[in-house]
Amino acid sequence: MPKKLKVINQDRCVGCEMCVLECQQQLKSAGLEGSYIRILRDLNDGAKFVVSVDPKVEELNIKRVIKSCPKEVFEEVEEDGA
Amino acid sequence: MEPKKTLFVNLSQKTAEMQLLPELTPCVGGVTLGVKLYSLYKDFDPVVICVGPLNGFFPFASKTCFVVQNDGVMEDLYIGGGLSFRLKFACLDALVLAGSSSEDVILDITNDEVKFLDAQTDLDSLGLPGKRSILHMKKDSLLLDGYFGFDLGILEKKFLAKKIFGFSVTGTKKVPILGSAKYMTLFNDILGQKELVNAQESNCPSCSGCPLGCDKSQTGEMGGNILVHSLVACGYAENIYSNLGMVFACLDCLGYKYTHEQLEALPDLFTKTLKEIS
Repeated sequence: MPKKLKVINQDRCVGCEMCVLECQQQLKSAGLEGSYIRILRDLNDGAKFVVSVDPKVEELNIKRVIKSCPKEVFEEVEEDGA
Repeated sequence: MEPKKTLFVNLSQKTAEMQLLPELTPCVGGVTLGVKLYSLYKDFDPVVICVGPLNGFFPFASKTCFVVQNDGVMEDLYIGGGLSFRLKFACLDALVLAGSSSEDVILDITNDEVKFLDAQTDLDSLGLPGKRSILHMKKDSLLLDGYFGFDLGILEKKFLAKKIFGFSVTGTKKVPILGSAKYMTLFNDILGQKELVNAQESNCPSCSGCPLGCDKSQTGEMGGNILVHSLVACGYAENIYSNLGMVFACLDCLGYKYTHEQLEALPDLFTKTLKEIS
């Protein structure tokens, strides 16, 4: 069964963007453009973040993306969401 | 090495231009670059904002340097948040805010383009989500990304005098990583040294490129190690980034061909530039 990256603990995200760095490293580049994960900061409450994941992230090594997050925001799940 | 890229913003004339100045190359980045730029543009009493060569690439290289003159004293201030990534991926080494606006202004900066907007503009509407960082004046305090700030009021005073109500910086450039195997080895080596960082892991908003989420991130830093602050690494990661061999390897793998001697000479270069200013 294909695996999928799921955000399970968005409230734990601290906005460090280590997952963004990991995605870009796997694509052999650096930058925010074209990253399969984006971290959106709330201007009115800078302690809150939204983790936006492009489905194309499944082209990458998901286990490494999960490991890059210090706060266990992500989990690998089966394609059907199980 | 490519020359340093400085986006020079003249607030008085509402103009902006990209400058490539070869004489800035020995400055590496951060505070050394900041004071050199201040010396070049001191007649404008600029706010100089700089990143370093490792921002956006290596862990704990997570701060942004501000150089200003305050009551005749040069000050170097460091703020966390996501600004260093945005400046770096706008492909800027420095942003110089020179002169003063005639009315309150908001700057909308995307890569090397600058728009001068009315102070009533909704800052939240500017830039691209995920690729922008916003600094704005809120109740006479400057706040970056809605959380990170400075303690002393120095920058606030400057921004008020220049009538800058805030700015948004969006970086949309993508940089290929050459020699990625060596880069990854160094990246993981540094990440593995997080116990050397003089800050406790916590659940506070983190600076981009730092996994710690420490409770020290909210307020900035001031002064400190010239090499560390030329890289604009976090001051609490001084134990990692004062290691000249490690720094040399990081710079080398990103294509910066500085010599050990040039890196060792940074404190002298900094002191010499300060003397030129005074």
